[in-house]
Amino acid sequence: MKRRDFEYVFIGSGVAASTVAKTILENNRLASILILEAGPKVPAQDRRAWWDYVVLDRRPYDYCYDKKGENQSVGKTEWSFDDGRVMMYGGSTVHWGGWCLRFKPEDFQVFSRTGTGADWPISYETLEPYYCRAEEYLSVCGDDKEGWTKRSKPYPLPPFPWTAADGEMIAAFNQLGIKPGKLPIARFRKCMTTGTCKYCPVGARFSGQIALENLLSDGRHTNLEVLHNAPVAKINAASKRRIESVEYLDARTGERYEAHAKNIVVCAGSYETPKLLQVSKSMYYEKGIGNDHDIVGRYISSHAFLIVRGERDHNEEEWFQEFDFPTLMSRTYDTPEMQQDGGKIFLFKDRTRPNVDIAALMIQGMPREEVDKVVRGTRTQELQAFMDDRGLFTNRVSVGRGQNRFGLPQTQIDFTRPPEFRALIDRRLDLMEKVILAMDYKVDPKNKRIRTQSGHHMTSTCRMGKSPEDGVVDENLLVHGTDNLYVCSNAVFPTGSAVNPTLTLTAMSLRLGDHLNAGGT
Amino acid sequence: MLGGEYCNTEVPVDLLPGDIQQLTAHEMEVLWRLFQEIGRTWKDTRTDSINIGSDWREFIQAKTGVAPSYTGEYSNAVSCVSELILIHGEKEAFRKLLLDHGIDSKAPPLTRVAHLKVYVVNEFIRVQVAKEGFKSWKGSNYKGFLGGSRFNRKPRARVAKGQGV
Repeated sequence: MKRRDFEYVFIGSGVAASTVAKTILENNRLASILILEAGPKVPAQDRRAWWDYVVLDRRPYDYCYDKKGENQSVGKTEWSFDDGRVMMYGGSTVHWGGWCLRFKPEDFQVFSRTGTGADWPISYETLEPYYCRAEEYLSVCGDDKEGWTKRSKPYPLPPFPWTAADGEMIAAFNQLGIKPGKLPIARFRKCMTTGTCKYCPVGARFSGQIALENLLSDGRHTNLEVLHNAPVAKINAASKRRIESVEYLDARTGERYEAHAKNIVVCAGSYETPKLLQVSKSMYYEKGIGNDHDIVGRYISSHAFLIVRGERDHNEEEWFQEFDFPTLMSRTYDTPEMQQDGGKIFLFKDRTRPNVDIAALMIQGMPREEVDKVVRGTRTQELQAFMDDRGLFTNRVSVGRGQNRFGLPQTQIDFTRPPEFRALIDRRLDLMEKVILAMDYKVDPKNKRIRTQSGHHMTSTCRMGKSPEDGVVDENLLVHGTDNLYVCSNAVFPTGSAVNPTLTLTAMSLRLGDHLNAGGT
Repeated sequence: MLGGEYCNTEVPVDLLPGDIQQLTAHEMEVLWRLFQEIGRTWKDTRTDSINIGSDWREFIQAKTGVAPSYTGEYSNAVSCVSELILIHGEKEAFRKLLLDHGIDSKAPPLTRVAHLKVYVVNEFIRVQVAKEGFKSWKGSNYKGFLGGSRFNRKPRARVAKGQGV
């Protein structure tokens, strides 16, 4: 195995790795950094790939998702691996929607307030300045008058307007005392709202790949290296405190390397990070690094995804969804009171409805008059919600059987919702149904439901805690008991929130970058 | 049955082989005519598609300039259209091909004319609707439409009452 030496080794290439690396390079442009990505590099802003997405609905990175049959769900609650994450250069930022909502102060104090879940060792106030920086970095378009959370700086860009099809749901919100809001969303000024956000032709949405390519193209960063198709097999410890290297395969050459570094940062998401720590066994760590108290991989938290869809038989306005993201949302039920009642929900209008695929009708051979009838016919609207989750000790991610095509061990998820969960979900669905009924839409009971559980926003599998008994990492994301191994991922969140995690992860990444620039431990 | 002996020749389901190369002027002319007929048939174009000609040419370049190349499909399409016109006459040939084709686009294309429908006509329809056609159904934006900066005075999508940019 060939030896290589760096100041920093990052495992993963998504928002966490790219943001921490950028922060370090801003402080020291000559810092020697190796970024290892298990997945391939799929060209960004490629015109052929974009046209194929438009006409065939085929994304060039579709093959980088988990495939059916690759992983194992062994709990009582079915777990779907479909479309949950992207294993490629840039990580899941390649497909993310750019929804950028701050957690609320009570999200950092879940255990103190409810006796369930866990508290964060840091507060909203600690993270607030980093939220501001993260919003500037990601270019978040938001409404300064929203008032959902306290903020010390305005959003960098104004919000997208509510669409015409939002109008009737806004009226229903107002009727029911639900405050409508504009979704804060990350889009650079050059956004042309092309409706193909999952593969932007102009790079108008942040992705880890584009961020790293920008760093690489800056001639001052002579010691920055990014390797794709380079899965990491193990992290090696030289002593209990000193983590010395990672073993990786360069899959393009077949050669194996051992990369030594002063600091190692695992940014491999909530699936791969705990698995990598679990398999990194040695005489110093018999159960894997950071796992002396058997909590690595435990406490899986992931949003429950609720939907209520309504239908009416006319669409005389000929509305169809014109953006590829929602513009209407509400945090009226994302409150301490709802938290105490078992679960907060974050409401948002489905980004795909109402919709008529006009081209599909034409492809069938439907003449104009018939297409017009369909367009003016049935209209559907859907209200969706994420509900916060508090991880249970028994819910765990671990190494599954065999390897996937990128050389990563497959994943086993053992996940079971508690018995009281169903009643809670039904109460939340009832709240949502009132909105659809107030719009004068009919609700088919089969369209009032919870989606199959998945890991799109999975957190907490290497959670922060004040002590090694309580968490895998400390408040500075350093693995307890080590001097130089950090985890920067949604995995470190002690609990999730009702909203999307990426803005918070970006804020945490900027904070870690500052910590490392200040000398780390 | 749509077309004659050539159109109904059986071929493999995969993309017909073709090199990465430019199409001939004649091929471009026939394909452009086919593209224009989409807007004429569904009456969703105001300029006979001329205003989106550059988008269409860029699409053709993207499809023929890199692998997997569509040159084999486009060459096949030109031959099929020629036979359809020969058999049915110009007007009826395009009417049949676009409205009365009897081809299931979800089934694997196993004849030359099915290849024309699935790999060429269907994709041209998506390009035509995305770049211009959607506007005739009151839309301001559609998947694949690049409308320019959202900071223009004119909103990029139909917006709720009282909502400006």
